Amino acid sequence: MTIKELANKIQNREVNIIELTTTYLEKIVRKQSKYNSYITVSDKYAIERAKQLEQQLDSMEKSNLASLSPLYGIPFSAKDLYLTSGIRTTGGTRMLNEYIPTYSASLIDRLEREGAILLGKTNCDPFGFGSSTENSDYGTSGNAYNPNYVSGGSSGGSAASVALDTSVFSLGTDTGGSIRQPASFNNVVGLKPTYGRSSRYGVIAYASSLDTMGPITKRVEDAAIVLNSMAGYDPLDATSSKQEVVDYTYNLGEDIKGIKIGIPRQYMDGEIDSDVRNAYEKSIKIFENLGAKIVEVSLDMSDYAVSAYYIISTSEASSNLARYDGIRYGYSDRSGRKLDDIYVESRTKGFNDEIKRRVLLGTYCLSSGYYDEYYKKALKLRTLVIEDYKKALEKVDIILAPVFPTPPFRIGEFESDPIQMWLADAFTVSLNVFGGPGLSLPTDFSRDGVPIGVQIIGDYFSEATLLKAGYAFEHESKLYLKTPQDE
Amino acid sequence: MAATTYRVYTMTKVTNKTIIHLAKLAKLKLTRDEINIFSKQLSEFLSHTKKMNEISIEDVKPTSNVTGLVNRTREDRVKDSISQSMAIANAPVSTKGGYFKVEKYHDNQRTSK
Repeated sequence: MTIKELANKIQNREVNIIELTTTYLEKIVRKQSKYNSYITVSDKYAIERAKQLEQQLDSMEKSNLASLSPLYGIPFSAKDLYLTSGIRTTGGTRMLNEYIPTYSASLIDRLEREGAILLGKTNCDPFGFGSSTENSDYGTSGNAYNPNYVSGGSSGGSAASVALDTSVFSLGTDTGGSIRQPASFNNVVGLKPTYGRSSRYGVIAYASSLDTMGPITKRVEDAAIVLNSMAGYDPLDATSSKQEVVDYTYNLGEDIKGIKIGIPRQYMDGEIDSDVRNAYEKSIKIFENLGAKIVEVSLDMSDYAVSAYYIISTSEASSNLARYDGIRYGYSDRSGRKLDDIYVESRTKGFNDEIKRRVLLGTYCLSSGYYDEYYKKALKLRTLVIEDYKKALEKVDIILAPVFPTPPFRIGEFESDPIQMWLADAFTVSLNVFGGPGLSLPTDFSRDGVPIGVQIIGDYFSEATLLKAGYAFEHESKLYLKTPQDE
Repeated sequence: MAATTYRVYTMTKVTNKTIIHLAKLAKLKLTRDEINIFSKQLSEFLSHTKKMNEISIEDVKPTSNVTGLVNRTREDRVKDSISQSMAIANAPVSTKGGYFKVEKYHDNQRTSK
């Protein structure tokens, strides 16, 4: 059922919000030990909210029901980077194992004001550091189609919770692909909006010039509905855009005949797994069937994007993570003799290897003697990446690309080689460096039976175009009809 | 798009000595093994970035953020914020009088309480 269909049933009083919420909470319990999608389940809170919302419906005039938000009574999950007042928020790290925020992220407030019901916080790589959710201090999350395979990352729990239908939709974050990749690994839709489209306030920071908040949903229309609530200026986020918010559902269902879709030469010629290549070629055919014009484009900077991304993001992360010092919140070790010992002991014990690795690299890139060679150079590369995308997007409306060079892999496969894992982010990170929007769409399944998606990319604030094209694509591929085996 | 192979450039070596220095800057304590491993991993990644030298980048202006926004200020007006008790609610050790408690930073010695 789509959000719109569910919303109609809620407003017609065919579906009781309390029963709906209870059903979802029961599903979470049934699937938690097998898939580990959630870190915290806020069951009492969700039931309380459901009761309030159902009561409110009872007291409303029937004629006013239609003015309710389509998210009213809809259960959702949020990646554990989103602060949720009174509900434990761990960031996926043991450093924040006991942290209970006293305020919520702006986006959480917004969704709750519209009547959406938070079921719980989903598992993720700590601070967003990872592409498989294997770096989480709360165990890894299994792929919805085979729990021996990774759920992707860093929003792995979010994507799996939607695919397993243990939430109707989920809030994720995408700094280097962390919405698009896990969505494509779980046969669901992932939208990374333009940087600045949705508020970063109250979301645990990874890289402040790259972090982008977006929805993971089963259907493209659902993503458009959630984006309608997420998009918009927030004075509490200094890089929040004042760009006008449109109704992202408005153009859905329109013909996309004649739309120009760019295929980057570098991606077509590159080394990718044959299942991924088949999925990519399948997606091109689907768009051709829809009347799109396929055009070759060139993304000359694609080879340098990973370097730029990891230098910029780890540098910003090393600065953002300086706040974890054992003083105001988080893990604290007070056994030392000096103030400095509190910092060192708390951080050393609170941060795992992946966190230390990125903090050290970021520290290096910003340190005296290396700043120009790495950080400043990466900022220049960013300028070139932006120009590169702008140049390609002059020729086409949308760029079509793979999301990851391989299908979802087995848990533990990259364990001994974290840097190889970083290099595999090549298809996703360049979009973050550019800052534009990207929508990942279910496309195919691998030989091993795990999902493979593709992504469509557009110019700044072209989310409506991407959603329109994605909607048409989804109705051709019909992959939303496929769900994980055990229900 | 090479995921598993890449041309090997002159290896950038991030030495153990550098790692120790970085750890000090980042307020981290590392074991001998960790120093060796991080040295190897950072070297591996930074060797990959040597690719950046392939292109001429001298005259390019750096982009700090993609929005083009500069110096976004707000009115200097007091607004509602969270209360003091909420602000210290997650303090790892008990607070006193609404303050965070820390070790006394004095002559590198912990004073008696």
